[in-house]
Amino acid sequence: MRRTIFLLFPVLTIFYTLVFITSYFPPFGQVKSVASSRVSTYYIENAARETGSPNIVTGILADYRSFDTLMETTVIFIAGLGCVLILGLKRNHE
Amino acid sequence: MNKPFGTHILEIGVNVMVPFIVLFGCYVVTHGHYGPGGGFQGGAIFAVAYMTLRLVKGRLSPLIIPIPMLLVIAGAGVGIFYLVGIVATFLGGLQGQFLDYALIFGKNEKRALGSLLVEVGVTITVASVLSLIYELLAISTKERFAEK
Repeated sequence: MRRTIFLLFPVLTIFYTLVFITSYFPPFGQVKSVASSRVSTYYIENAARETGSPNIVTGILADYRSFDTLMETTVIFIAGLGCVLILGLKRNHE
Repeated sequence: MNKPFGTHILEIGVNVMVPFIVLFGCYVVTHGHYGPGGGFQGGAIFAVAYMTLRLVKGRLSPLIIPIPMLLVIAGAGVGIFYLVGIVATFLGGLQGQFLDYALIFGKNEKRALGSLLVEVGVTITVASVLSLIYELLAISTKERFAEK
């Protein structure tokens, strides 16, 4: 019981900090925020011409951000390897 | 999960459904350039087709891939992705860049072929890893705890 209360303290502290930080986020849909002012306008204007795919999401995902997708695929492969190591081995009964 | 399951209705229903699921998976992968879709979603749909067959028909399923083979296929999917990147590096000569599709296929419209190839690699990896997890869970407890 005492241990639970002791562990609750850092959890609540981190939770409060994270919630507090969200009050500094730019409002949703604001045009002048940093996230929607620099690179996203470039993508909207040039993605169809530069990547050749009419779907802007595919253009960004598989072309501008192809390193990200490459590593995502590698991570999925490594996750499969981990599942084999955990579940696939034959265990002894002791 | 290895025993055949269900009645004739289920088996015939699966036989009707699975070709359409595979067709829809192909559509999602190749149409990912024009609408919603892409490698990850298409891979999940292919894995659904595999798992439905395996769930209903058990060991009598027409398609059972052993676990080591599934790992090899998953690695091949990642390999396609890396291969596209490396080929672009060498074909470009001095201007070669990793994963620059324009150096392989050409500019503008043709460049999209590169991302299609890459998405096919992603599809193969996702589908085989999901099937792999199913096969791992389908190992019976008797097999898992077999005496050495």
